[in-house]
Amino acid sequence: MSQDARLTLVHLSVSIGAKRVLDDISIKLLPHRITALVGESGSGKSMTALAVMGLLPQGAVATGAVQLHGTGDLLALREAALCAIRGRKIAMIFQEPMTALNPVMQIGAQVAEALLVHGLAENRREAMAQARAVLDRVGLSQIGLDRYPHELSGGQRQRAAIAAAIAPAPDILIADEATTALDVTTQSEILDLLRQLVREDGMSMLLITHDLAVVADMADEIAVLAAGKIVEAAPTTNILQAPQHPYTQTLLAAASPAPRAKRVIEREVVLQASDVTRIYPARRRGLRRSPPMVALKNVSLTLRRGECLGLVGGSGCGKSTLARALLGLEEIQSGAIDITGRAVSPNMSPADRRRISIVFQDPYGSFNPRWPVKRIIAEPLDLIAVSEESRASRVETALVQVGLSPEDAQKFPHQFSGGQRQRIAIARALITKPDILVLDEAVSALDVSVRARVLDLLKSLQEDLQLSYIFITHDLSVVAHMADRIAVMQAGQIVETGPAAELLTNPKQQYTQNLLKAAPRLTVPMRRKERT
Amino acid sequence: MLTYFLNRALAMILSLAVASVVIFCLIEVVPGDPASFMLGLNATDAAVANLRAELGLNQSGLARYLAWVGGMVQGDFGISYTYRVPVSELIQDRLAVSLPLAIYALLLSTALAIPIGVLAAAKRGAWPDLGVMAAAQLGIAIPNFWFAMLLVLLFAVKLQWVSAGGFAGWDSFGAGVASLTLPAIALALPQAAILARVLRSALLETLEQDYIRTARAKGLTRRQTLWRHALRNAGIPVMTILGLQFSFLLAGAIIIENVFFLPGLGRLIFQGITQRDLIVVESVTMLLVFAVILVTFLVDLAYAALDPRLRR
Amino acid sequence: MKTQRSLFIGGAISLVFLMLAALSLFWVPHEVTSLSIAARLQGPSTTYLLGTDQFGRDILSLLMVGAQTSIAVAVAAIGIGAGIGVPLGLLAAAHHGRIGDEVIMRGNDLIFAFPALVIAILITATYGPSAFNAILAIGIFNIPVFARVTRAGALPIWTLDYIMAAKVAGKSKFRISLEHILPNILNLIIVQATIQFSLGILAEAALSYVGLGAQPPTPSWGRMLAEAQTMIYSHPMLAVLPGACIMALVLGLNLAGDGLRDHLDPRLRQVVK
Repeated sequence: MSQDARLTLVHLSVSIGAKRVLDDISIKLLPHRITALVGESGSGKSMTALAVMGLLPQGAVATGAVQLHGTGDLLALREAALCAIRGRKIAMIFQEPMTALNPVMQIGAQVAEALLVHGLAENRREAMAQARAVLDRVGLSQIGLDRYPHELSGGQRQRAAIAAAIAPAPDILIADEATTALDVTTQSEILDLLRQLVREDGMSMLLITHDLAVVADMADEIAVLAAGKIVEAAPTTNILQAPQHPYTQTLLAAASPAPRAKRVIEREVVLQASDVTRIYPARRRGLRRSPPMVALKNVSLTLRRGECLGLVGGSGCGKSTLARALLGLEEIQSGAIDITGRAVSPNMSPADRRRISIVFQDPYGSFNPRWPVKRIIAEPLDLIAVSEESRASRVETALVQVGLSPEDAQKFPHQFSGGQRQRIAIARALITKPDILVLDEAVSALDVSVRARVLDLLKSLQEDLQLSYIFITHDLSVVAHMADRIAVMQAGQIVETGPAAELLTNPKQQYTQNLLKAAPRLTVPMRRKERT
Repeated sequence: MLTYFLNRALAMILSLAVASVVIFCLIEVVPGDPASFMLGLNATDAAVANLRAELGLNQSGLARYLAWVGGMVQGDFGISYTYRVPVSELIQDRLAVSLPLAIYALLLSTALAIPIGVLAAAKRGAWPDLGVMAAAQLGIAIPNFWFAMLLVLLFAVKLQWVSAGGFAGWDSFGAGVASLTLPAIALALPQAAILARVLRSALLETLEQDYIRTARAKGLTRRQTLWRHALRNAGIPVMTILGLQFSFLLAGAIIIENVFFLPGLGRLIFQGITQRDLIVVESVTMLLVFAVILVTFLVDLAYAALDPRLRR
Repeated sequence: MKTQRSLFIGGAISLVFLMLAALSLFWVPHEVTSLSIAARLQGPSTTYLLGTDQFGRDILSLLMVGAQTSIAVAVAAIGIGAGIGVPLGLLAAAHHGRIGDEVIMRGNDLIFAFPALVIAILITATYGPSAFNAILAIGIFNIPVFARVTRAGALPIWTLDYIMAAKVAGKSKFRISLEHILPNILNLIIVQATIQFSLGILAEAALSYVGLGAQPPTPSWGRMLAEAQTMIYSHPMLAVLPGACIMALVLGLNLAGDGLRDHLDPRLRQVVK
């Protein structure tokens, strides 16, 4: 343990113009150790990584020092010398597996490239042979060297990116939100792979993430970053069990919301879907013909007044199609959907549509940027006969209900923060006085602290207005916090459904069990001891 | 890859078929009928009747369309009414000027644009970049036939380095190329400026991509990332412009022939218009449209060569 | 800062030509239809500010009326192109992936195979040359350009959540196109219109140069160049002035267009804020 630090950030600060984006950061990276840098969006996490790599955006000025063992201060190095360090001594992997690989270059060549650039292979053939070995090592033995990125799944691409990074056997690996874009099962596989590589190669790893749960059973030390400053840095166990700084405490509390207390809901059924099947017809593209796709298969569910039904499943499982079907935007091939006694279909009247509304994930794409908030919120009333005064007063009521002020009606969406935008989206959903709200990943894009407040708002609205929720998410801790019952979807079918507490503690289906096992959880793991 | 190729080839044939119908119909709807139109107001009834018979106007429209298309497929474009020789012969002579001119100009502009565009992107904001941007603005704004006149003014009238126009023929390859050089420069320079600008902005956009950052993190230098990663990706939008440019170059070549008194397709078609020789007009426009559609097809194939995502 | 400048300079140049063209509707220094052998080929003087051509017409007056012809043809052609192309593009985007989209886009590709020159040749061959033919030829050429820009701008907006919210409110595709899509791509269309404006000026000049555009006695820049070509050895200025006018106007419009695009681009605007 008394080894020298591989990389030391000494009072590192970065300014862009007059703005100081990183302030006095000091971190030590030791061999065999994983150090996590945790912070919300805009805290300066990625900037730290770029400063280490010497890839800061133009106009950014770094002060302090980045000491690389055996080399010296990287900030003082010229570009040519940095090129010899980058990739060779310090490698990096990025968030988006979709865009981080060159789309027109074969996977093998992309892995071999780092070897050739650093002169670690005599020739192309040797580099390719080494690339093959590294790809085998990261679990891509089935993937040919001549594959292109678009032919790989998200998880495979991230593995390929990892292969390209570790091929020159770097001392230090920086992973910047490397698993954020993946779904939970893939995420846990990639995390396992990273952990194994660090252990086998004795690399130092800097793991940058917004998700405390991810680092809980990965990192040896955690540094918490807020607004460009490290507010707390300590061994993982200490941070998780006895956080000192108030910011760390809120972060922890928000990241592990308490499961919802068990409620018995015996009010009337407001939504009934039975045997809903949605098949996308075969499509022709020139000479090709894609086969018909079954997006939903015999899906049945019920929802009572005041109840919250959680809908979970991996990406592409049919959650969003189901949501659209419930909103009457999908033509269904068989089955029936009925809301408070009226059938749901694409050609139902606007007056019937008012009983169900939706809140989306993306707080930026949710509003027409050219409309003022009052017009945005009132849009669902456009096709319903409502007097002008009544519209105005309803907008005001809705704004107050979601904790905004009536004056906000005149403003435009870009004048609000992400959390406020999500409140506006909720206000728009409430304006028609619906019975049911579909919350489609409605809090997934929000930072944890903001998310906690929006979840509180949703809960109190549910109490006050006796709303029923369909809560769609990939995040199991949030669904435990919100849902009374949970339905698990896989490949267009509901594979398991039951009371939330029961389903989460004692899942019957294999798929649900896998999902739960893969989900990162914020418990202090005992097996951490094994490694030290 | 084969399906992609077949799809594109099918699309090309379909476009050709529809285009030929459009051209045929446009010529059909001339005031009066084609025969009396071609002969003008003073024609005798007998002459009109003769021409009607020669053009086959007594047959149904469909039969004539099929005969026209069938003939073209075999290289038979009919007999020019004014020249009394097969149109295919006329076209062959003229094409020997126009096609080399368009290709010459295309090669010249591409050869100039690629190094200049890369240089501008690499030296973003510095003087080579600003120079390219300014030249591109001028290149877009300058009418190429006027630019050609200015070149004639400078090189033929003032400096007297070259003759003002005419075509030496292909008997001597060197002389042929020499008489096409000034016209090709007139066509190519403005296009090169535009192409360089497109390449520059495509490169700059590509350089912002995540995979460029990945490449830099692997330890590639700026120059290596530019040549190895950015250029090929930037080639995709550039191909689009190159395809579009061909149709501009073709039209430009036809117009610029007037400036240099070149006996190309342009001369043929404008004479055809004045002499109301619909047979020539019909065939030459079809040929031009065929050229544009063919280039679109070739660009589609180039896309697939550049972008593996399209090869399915 | 830089975009402000190019918008300003480009706008000023364009405005000068617009005003000269407008002025020529009411007043020109000398009637452009009056030919005078006595006054032929004069140099610049107080009577004839820019001199006269081989028919004794005042060059300044010809240039002013020529500007009017060019601008009128280009604007009318934008009217045709945008008037038909924008609705088609909106329709195609609204029916993305369906047969309607496919038909519109294939139709577009087909028109793209006909350069404006070829359309003009076909129309002229059958109906004889005129300024109207030039408008039609350039206008038809503009249709697929506007349709593509509109569709390309509209497609990403159709995937945004606020469109889904409007669908949930029960709005039709037509109404969504009008309320949500069109206002958000208007920038793109305006910028494209300035580009097509300058291309239209160039196309008009080319067509009238080869005799497929405005006919005598209507003056146009392209025909002035054609007429000057025979005089290029003795009176090169006759060939220089109309070309310089074309270039200046097109340059002005392009600068204004670039400036406008940067000014209207919300991404760039946010940086400024």
